[in-house]
Amino acid sequence: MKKKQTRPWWQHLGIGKTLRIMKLTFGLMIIFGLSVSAAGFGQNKKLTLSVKNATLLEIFKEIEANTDLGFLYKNDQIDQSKTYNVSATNKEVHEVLSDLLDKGDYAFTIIENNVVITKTRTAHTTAKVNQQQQQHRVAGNVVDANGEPLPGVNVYDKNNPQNGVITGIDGSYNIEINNPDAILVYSFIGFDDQEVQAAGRNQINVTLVEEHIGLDEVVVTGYGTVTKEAYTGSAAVVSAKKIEDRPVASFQDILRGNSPGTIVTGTGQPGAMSSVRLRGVSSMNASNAPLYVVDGVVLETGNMSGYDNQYSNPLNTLNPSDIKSVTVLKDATSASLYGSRGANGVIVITTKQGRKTDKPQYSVDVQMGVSDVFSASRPGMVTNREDYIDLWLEGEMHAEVLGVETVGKENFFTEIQNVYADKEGYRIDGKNYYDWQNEAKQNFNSHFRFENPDGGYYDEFFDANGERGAHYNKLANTDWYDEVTRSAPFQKFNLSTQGGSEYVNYYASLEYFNQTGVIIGSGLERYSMRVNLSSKKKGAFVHWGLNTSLSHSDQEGPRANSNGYEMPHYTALAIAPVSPVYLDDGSYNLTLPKGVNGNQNPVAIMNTNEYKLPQTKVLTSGWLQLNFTDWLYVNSRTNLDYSHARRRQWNNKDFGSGAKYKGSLYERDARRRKISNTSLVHFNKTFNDVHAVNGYAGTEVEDVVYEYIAAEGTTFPTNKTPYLSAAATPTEVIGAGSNYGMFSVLSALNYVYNSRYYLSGTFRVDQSSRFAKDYRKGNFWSVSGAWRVSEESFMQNISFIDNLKVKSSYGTNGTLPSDYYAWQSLYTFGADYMGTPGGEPSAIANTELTWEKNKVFNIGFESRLFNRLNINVEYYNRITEDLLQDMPISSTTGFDEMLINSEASLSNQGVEIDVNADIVRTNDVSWNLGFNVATLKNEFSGLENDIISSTQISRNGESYYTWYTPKWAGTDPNTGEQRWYYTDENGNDAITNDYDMADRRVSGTALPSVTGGISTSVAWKGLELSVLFTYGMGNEVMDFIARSVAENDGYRDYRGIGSDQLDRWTPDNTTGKNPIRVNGKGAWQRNYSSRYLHSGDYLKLKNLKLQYSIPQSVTERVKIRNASVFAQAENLWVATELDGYDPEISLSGRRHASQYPTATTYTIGLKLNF
Amino acid sequence: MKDKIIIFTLLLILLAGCEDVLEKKPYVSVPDFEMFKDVEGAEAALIGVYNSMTSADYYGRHMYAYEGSKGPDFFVEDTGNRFETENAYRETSTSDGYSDVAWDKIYSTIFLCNNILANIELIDGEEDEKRRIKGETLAIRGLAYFDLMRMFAYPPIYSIAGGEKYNDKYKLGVPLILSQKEHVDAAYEGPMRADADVCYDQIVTDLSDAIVNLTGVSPADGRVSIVAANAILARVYMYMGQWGNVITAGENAISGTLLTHDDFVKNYYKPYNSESIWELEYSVADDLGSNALNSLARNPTIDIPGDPNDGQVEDSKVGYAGYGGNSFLRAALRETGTDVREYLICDNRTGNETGVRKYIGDGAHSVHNVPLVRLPEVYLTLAEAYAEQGTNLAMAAEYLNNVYEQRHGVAYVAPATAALLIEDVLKERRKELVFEGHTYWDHFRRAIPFTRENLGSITPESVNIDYSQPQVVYPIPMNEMESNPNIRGQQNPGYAPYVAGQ
Repeated sequence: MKKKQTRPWWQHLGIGKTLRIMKLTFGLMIIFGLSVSAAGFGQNKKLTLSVKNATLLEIFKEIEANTDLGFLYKNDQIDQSKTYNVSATNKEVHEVLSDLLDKGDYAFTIIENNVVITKTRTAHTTAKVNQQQQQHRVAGNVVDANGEPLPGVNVYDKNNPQNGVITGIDGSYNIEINNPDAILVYSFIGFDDQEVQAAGRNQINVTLVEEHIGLDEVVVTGYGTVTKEAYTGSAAVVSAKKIEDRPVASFQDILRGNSPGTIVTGTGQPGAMSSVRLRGVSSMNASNAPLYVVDGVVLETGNMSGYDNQYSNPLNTLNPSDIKSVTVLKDATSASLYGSRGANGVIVITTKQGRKTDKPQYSVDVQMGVSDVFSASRPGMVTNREDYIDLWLEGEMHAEVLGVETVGKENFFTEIQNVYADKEGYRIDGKNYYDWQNEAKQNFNSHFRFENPDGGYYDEFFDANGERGAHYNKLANTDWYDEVTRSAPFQKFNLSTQGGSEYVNYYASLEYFNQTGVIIGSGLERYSMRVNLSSKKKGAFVHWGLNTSLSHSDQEGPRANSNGYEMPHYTALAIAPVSPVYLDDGSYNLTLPKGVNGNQNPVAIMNTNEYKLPQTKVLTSGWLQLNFTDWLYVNSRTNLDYSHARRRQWNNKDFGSGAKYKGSLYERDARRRKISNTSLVHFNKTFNDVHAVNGYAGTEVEDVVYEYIAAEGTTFPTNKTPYLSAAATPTEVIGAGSNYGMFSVLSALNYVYNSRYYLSGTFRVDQSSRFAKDYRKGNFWSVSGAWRVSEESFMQNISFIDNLKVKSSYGTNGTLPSDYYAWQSLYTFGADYMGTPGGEPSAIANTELTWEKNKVFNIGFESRLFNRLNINVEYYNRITEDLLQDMPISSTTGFDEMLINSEASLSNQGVEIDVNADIVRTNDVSWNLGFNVATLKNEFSGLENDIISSTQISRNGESYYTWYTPKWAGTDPNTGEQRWYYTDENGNDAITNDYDMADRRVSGTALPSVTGGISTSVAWKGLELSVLFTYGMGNEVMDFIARSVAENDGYRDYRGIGSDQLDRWTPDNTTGKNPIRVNGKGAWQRNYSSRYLHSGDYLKLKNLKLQYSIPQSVTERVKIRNASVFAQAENLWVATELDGYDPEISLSGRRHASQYPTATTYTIGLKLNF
Repeated sequence: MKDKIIIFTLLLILLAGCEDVLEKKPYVSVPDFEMFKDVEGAEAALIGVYNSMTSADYYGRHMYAYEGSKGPDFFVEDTGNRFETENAYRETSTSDGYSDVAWDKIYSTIFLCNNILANIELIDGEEDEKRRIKGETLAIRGLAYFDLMRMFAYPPIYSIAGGEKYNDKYKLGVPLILSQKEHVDAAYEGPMRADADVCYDQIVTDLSDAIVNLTGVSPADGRVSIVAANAILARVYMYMGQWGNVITAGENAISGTLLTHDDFVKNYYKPYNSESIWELEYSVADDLGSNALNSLARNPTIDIPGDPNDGQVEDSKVGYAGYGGNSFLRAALRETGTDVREYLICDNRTGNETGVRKYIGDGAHSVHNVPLVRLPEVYLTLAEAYAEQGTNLAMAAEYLNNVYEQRHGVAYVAPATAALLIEDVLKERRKELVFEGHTYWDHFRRAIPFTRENLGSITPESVNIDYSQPQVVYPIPMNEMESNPNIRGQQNPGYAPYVAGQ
């Protein structure tokens, strides 16, 4: 991806951006002054300076120390061997520099407070300029991608490099060349060189493009920033550009395909929390989620709704537009900074900050669109009533035959074949095929009846002879999935401003976000605002900042992740298409077949009940920095993370769950506050120019208090007053909370030799309230190193290698148990009897409880070739030991499990490759291609026993989420029975139709072994098309929808039927794929087996975007700095083996009816900057 | 510079310290040592014991549901729950019905009792109060072990040497854990099963000690009293066939008055009616909802107390319930035609009359008390004991008549022999104590085979029960086998021995 500048170039160079600039490119080094100077300093500042035999660099440093000027130059252009003498007393800076630099063949330009140094190309060869050649004059302007003029650009003749000029403050230049056909080179720090053939022209305007290693390529660790070159660990940075315009509620979605080794899964419910896994899965009991850090604040992400199936998601309160970058820290180097919480990696979010500008800058982003159910996540059901009736009747007829006493299961298969073979003549229990069909039809009449306007029932769908009856046409052709889904509007308005005054830089934003869900009765609405302030002078003794965001989000929608009828997308699969949504009189049909789902018509439920999760969040972080010397400062940051989360569930009094209670309302109100402080002493010093040492040491403390109250009431007079005071019967009042704290001492030390060799170490001591006193303290550390091979002198002749860095790290970190008090032997109150409070121990205490320990090894290289191809490769191996495990214990203890640190361990290893290439890069056209791939091998070891669930197994040598089911052997072509494999006495595969005989086998894992993304963007002038694909492979997914609903072969005879079932075995169709249908009765369970397992390989078109930047010539006329319009689509297409499955929904590889489907969202947007 | 040094020093001081963030106390919990500082805490722990008993896994549902599924009166609908397995006598070592939840819950109740017993002597407070708490706790522990013995071990006639059907293979009881320390040890080294006779001795000891400690304590609603302890002790002796002891304990347990023939229908389901000796109380906050016994065996669609059609099933709907009373039960209740308990038969499926409305809450139907001991049981127990002793059949007949006359409205006419009288007592027990956790064990403890109706989950193979099949008691649950290697060799007769990794 090209980095485009979004602001005037000199803003990049402003003081206060030290670190960002330091990473500019290899071969570039920029040093800033830290000294305080009088206000209004410009080029006329007076300077007193006296040095002898100093190199230019030394002189620059001296000037920086005494003024607030900064110097910019290319390293290789400064001759370090030459020394100079300066003696100036109260002289103009300009004058001093002129005197100095003229001696050394350099030119300089002062822009704002920065001195740009360039080598004078005419210096040594003026005499050799060929005067006989025809002189040709070329003039023009050089601008950046945003059309901002670029001063200080070196423009020279490629064949005669000595002939060069520098662009002025307005970006203009004027050069005389001796060949009208000469090639001009435009060169500027931080930008790619550009060559243009003059071809006789006199006017050449050029747009320079930032170098790929752009201006924001720093690694933000949360405790500081490290330049990309100096970073010895493993991190992926996702920049604002990839975040800003995506039509998603939460930044989590953006990580998909953009960060190698990151698996993001989540349902399509707007605002719902996604699961993010970095480099695999490492824990059974404790959290596997990474740590989220926003501007140095470790976010609390725990659920506050008190109900896992309606998870309150604190991350949905963050406005993605405020995010400047998301840095994913994966290895020990940075994750170990977080000690006992860093085992699952760290996602560091930095928000946008203001910069000094001439005048305030404003941005307006408007985005609108519409979402529809992503066709790939939509289950395919039979919606045609004739097909449905055929399938149902067939199953019912078979069930009737099975029910005959003389038939039973033993004779069923032969009897069924006989009755099909001779439909007229063969009789079972006195009835031939047609009689049985008719019997099924009579059952159909009672099974599918529903109310008519007279209060009676439509139940004559078939008459006594089995012909279509009077009410046949009352049967519906309902596509229930259509009924519960909709085209849902999307809108987002974002207004932001930024700038800087003499003393303060600011960024402020306001956002309104409204994503209506594709399922009726769901959506997310958010209001958010942010103000980020910081004092302007970074080098001043007192430097401070304050970041504050306030937001409110209203998430609405059905519960998730469990079986239940209050999920319309689940219920929609469970109702037969022949049932209408509405009765003749327009009221809801509340007579569903067999009373399925408690007659909870999903359309009625979602229109009448409420499932709400309102949330208000304050996230504020203030810091104060005291600069004691230019190499030592103290920074103390104090943070408040406050969340107020509510849950409201209203069940109306007329039907559904609330009917029994004449209406019921549950309200919960939870608050959580976290106060934390990080205070660090930083130092940063260079010795003898080549030994750079920096680091910090200090303390961190965090204190979290979570409290809630909740109440429930029933018996409401009317549906119009769904508030507790209107309830006649209060049924529950509860209130409690929890708390925890941590105190840490942390430190880091980095050493750099000559910008080539990097060594880092971190050490941290954590003490957590979650453990007994003697087990409270844990030490975490890391060591890492890097070698920038490309900086070695022997590499200087290999011109195509622009960067090559080899790096490795090793370290430890941990995971805290989710339980705050598991080490204490406690009596918990709430065990009431007869209205008297009592106590019971809730768990058996384990005083020896401690962290899970994570050991991480990382090795890899980063490279940049031909100045346009980046290749990064890493190998990692992380091993988690002392796994927290709810170990089963004898129930005679009074408990059935105890939380312990077991002998078991989990390892994750893999290779991550990230490739990015600028395939075409010219003035008008550019084409960039990015590709990343990550492998994952996850493995248990040290488990005492296999841990087996209904479909999965945890076993030594196998991966997390390993499927463990019998192997499906297909439908028996002779009888239509289900069949599975078993291992006979000789150890060979044999086939059985007795499920109890089938043996369970390891059948792959749900964890993909390969994941990644492919992105490309093509730009032509102002037009840019970008595409993002994500993919994964090597895993198996289980279709629980098939087992429980769509492919149950009639077992659940009141549910919808999947289209796949049309292909079924009957005596007339013995090649049918699915087994013989038999309705209800539990005759043959649809057991778990590999029948429902499918390959999880997929390729998904995640995002497609077309953007047009309106030319400056147009926007200038209306006083707009720049403007662009775009159109995009999210979740467009996916290729998978399993139809109706979006592979990005479930981490554990389950396609489940409870999963809210994903949406395809189309939006158009407008961005204006002025 | 001097200022900078001062500020720097101040900052360093600020950075140091603040360890108090590490001392966190939970909100609604207290550490053990604080819980047992005074009588108030011990009483709160005792409340916890009662609460544990009200759980659906114990007396809230499971204890009586188990008996219902095993006994002669009920069939279980085909709904995919584990009661079906139990009803069909299909438990295996690996598919063990609800044995795990029952095992867990009852041991958890015992654990709570042992916590109190370990501390009660050490705490400050009135001796009388401490004695009462100790008495109640011992009574409950005795009952809990008795319940474990009923579900997981064979009754004394099979399991204690000298019993009519005694065989070595039946002799195991359950692990006896009697102190706090033994519970903790069990986390690291699982216990083995004690012999049944040792277990029964312990049960008798606990209940006898309870009676001593409860002497002079006046009975309170919802709590185990000296009367209740005597009634349960009589029940235990009855299982052991120690008829003299039954009479002693039983006659100490006569308290209250029976509901009259006319009053029965109006009052039988009311909390703390005049024949109640001990019942567990449920409030709206304890509502077990669909797990309540009411929902299990009745579940009418008209569920509006006071409504004339209350308890019936609406024409258009199916009042779906897991348990149905079979025609044998209906026939028994209709035997004399004047039995007020006929009222218990109600619809739960249109026209089938399979519902049993033993449990009806006054407000919400699923919120009802669960009786543990009622006076009619004591009378019938005494009647059985006197008849067994054979020396005072008149007394036996009188005790039986106490119940008989109030239920049938006519006096009981005693038969000529003790054997016939015992038959009548058992018949009356079945009608009176249906769905109260007795009928199945009344057969089993006397080794009387029975026949069930082939309905619901019941298969032809599980129609005739003669205790030769393994599933007459639960298997030791799979979970326990997995976590406790020491018990693996002690599975109940007929169940497959433990195999690792299944």
